[in-house]
Amino acid sequence: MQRHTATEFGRLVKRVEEKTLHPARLNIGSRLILCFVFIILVMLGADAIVLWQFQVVHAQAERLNGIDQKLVTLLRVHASLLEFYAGLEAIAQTEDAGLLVKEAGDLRAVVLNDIQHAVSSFSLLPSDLQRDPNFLPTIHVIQSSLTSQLETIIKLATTGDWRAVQLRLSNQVRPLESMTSALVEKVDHDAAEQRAETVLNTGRVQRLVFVIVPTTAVFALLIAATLGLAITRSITQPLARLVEGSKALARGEFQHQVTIQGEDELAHLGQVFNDTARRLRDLYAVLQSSEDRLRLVIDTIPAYVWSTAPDGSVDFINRRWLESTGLSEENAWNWRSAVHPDDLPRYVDELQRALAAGEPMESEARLRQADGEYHWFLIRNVPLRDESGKIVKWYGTSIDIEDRKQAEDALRQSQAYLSEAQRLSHTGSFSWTVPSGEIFWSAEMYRIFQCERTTKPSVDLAFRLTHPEDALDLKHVVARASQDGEDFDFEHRLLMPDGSVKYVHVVAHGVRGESGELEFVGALMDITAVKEAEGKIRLAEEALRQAQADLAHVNRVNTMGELTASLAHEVNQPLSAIAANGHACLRWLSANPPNLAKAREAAERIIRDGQDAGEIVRRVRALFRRAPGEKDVLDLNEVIGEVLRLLRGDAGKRGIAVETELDKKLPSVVADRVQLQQVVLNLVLNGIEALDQVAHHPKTIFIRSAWDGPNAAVVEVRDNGAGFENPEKAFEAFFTTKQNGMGMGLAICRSIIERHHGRLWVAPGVGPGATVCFTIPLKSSEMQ
Amino acid sequence: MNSDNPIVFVVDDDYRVREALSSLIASVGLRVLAFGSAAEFLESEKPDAPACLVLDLELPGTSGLELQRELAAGDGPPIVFITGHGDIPSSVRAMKAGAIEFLPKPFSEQELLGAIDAAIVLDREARRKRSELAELQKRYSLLTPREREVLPFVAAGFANKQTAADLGTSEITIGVHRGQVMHKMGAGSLAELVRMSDKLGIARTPGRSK
Repeated sequence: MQRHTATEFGRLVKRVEEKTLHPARLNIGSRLILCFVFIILVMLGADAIVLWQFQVVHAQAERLNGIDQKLVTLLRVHASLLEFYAGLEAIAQTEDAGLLVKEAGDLRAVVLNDIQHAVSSFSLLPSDLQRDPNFLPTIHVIQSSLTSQLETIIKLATTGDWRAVQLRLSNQVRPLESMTSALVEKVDHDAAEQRAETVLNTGRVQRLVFVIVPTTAVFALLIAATLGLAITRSITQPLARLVEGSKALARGEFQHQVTIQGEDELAHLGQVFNDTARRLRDLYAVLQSSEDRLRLVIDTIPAYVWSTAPDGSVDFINRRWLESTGLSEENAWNWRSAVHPDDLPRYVDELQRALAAGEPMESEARLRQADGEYHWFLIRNVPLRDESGKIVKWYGTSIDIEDRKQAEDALRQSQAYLSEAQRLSHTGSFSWTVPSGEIFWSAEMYRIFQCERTTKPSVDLAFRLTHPEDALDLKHVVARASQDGEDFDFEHRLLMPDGSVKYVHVVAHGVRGESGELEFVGALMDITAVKEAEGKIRLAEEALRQAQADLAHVNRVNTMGELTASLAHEVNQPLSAIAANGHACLRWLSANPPNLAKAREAAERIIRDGQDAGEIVRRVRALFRRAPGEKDVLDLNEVIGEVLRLLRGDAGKRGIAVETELDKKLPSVVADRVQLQQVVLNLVLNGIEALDQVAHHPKTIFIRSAWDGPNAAVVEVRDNGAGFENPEKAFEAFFTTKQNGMGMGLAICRSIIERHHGRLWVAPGVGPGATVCFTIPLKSSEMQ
Repeated sequence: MNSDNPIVFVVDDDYRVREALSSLIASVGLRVLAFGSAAEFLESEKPDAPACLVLDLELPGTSGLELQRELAAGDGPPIVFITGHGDIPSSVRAMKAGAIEFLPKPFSEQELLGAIDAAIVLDREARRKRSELAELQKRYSLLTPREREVLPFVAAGFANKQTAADLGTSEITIGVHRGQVMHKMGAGSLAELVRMSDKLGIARTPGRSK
């Protein structure tokens, strides 16, 4: 029953909690106070119930006590009554009236006192115990009858009628006695009944107490716990949401919002939290965009940007760095791999020193680019310090200075070249600011003047070293130039301290500076060698004339030599064959038995090869005969073919391709075979030699034969060499462009062709190289 | 014809020289095969006999020196160079590359025939060595893997007991292997076996690792 009530109550509390009194509607403080007040009230109620139960038990005990008191009072009345009668009887026995009168009064007073006492105590009893209606009337009857009877007895005693007294005592008093004893019995009976009832009641109440007290305690505890739980939950749930929100915030999830219920402090906190998160999110977005912008700037600026921890370990590298070096983001920390091996130790050393000293550094090093090439970079590194001056980070940039480096190198190189050029050409340069007399000399000037670099150049110094014979003229030129600022160009001599003489040529150009001051910039060339050479050339020219006189003879010998060498192989072949055949022949003959057939064969071959060799020798001889040789009917293409067979090997060795375009239908010509061969040979040899100078393109000699009108054939020999500078001069004796040639070739060729009634000429240039053509009449026209 | 009858190859582009040399060489009783170019020579079938190559330096297409280089890769015959106008660099190159002789035309018959004889002697010796090695290799190929393991020990003069210990087997087994190796290699004595293994280039087992 009580449990049922408890659950009912719990449900009620819950409903109330959910609907009307949602905890979050109230502030946590008032909520807690309300909760505590309620819990105290519940505990007080529980205490009241316990007190009530104790009260019930106490009442039952009182009642039991009352019953006992009533019985005791009644028993005392009964006892005093019995004592009264016993006393009266005893006096009656004595029959002493005086005594009776004297004693009766006391006895009656005792009995009446007891009765009075019983009545008063009876009236004090609880009302439900006073239900015995006979008690008080009986007491009153006793009270009244006792007095009257005593007076009667006393009268009788005074009269001396003791008999009557005794009778009266036994008749009158006895009923009273029995009356009280009946009452006593009744009251005793009642008391026993009531006691039994009270004991029953007490037992029930005690049992009830055992149930009610714990139930109340449990109930109160339950309510307190439920309330506590509800309140705690109403606080911890939003708190947990807040904690979760905070964690999300810490993770950077700024879009996280806390659900808000009610309007208590936590709800306010939640709202504040949400506002904060929103603002953080906005702030973050702003930051993000500004960082993006910054990042874009950092990634876009034409430099490598990075930052490192105080110990030098890289923690940021911009995109350009990665793109330019081609390193992946994971490998970026390994920046050392991008530094040129030659620069790495020096750079690392500088970096370590800067890190140790905590001072900004500036260095240059080559860094590898994605294409594998190294570029020079200007690398700067600065520390960032906190308030206490401790370095928290290093920031660095690298700027590609390859172009600058190259420009520097180029400048250095060009300076070096200039200096070298000056040294090689013995040309010094100088500048002379006229008003201040300040003079600058290049290194070569010092060398020409044979002065130490520490010497301060001056006009006087120049004059001092000038040859005394030229000094006056020079002074004059310089004085005039310094007056009118005109350019000057003067040749003079220097007399060196060691007595040697130098020829120098000075050229100077006057310029006006911004402030109008006159300045000369010029060059001084040591032309001593030139002067000496001029003298030598004069001697050489005389020698040349003598040499040219000797040349005609030498040339003829030389041409023969060349031709002989070309033909030696041709002669050698049949000669070798002849020798071998001869030996073979002898061996066949000396064999046992002699092999005559084989010997004959060998001998026949000797004759054949001998004739071959004879023919060659004959042709060579014809070649050197001044008179026109024997004219045969010849196939022009065959002649060309023979020459090419001779030369092809030579041309091949020199990397020259020989191409032909021969008209097979060309009729025969009538000519001296050997002389015609000589012309073709000469033209092709010319081509081969011209091509020796060629290095940059494939070398080709092209030979063509064709009709030249109906009566003549034309042969064209073309090479892709340097060509003729002056075609007509080519036919003059001694004119040659070849280092080893004598210049007889073309002249001889032309005279041979002309003897055959043909023409030989240099064709106007078609593309690079030289083209030489000749014509020769065909057989049909010759016959005519 | 006896396969040992030597043969001389003549390669020259000049038919006159070719014919004359063929006749001269044939006159001393040697077989001759003549070719006009290096290509012809390379394509031809060569009899299995000691040989010599008389080679002209200047040839159309593949030159004499180029042919020499090509032949050096295989077991080509020794070469006697002849040339119409030999220069010193070519001759040095030819000789360095192992030519027997370098003869400028015209040359005497003794020079040529002497060179040819020397070349043939050389080739015969080389061929003998080659065939001997081939025979040895053929015999060696008959050996079982285990016998090939045993051979270096035997050649190094190890006792069967030591060999057995090193190869982790019994002395008797090694004895049997040893007999088989001697038999299969056709070696009459231990000394002969040692010479054979040297020719085959088999490294003798070095001293014991103890």
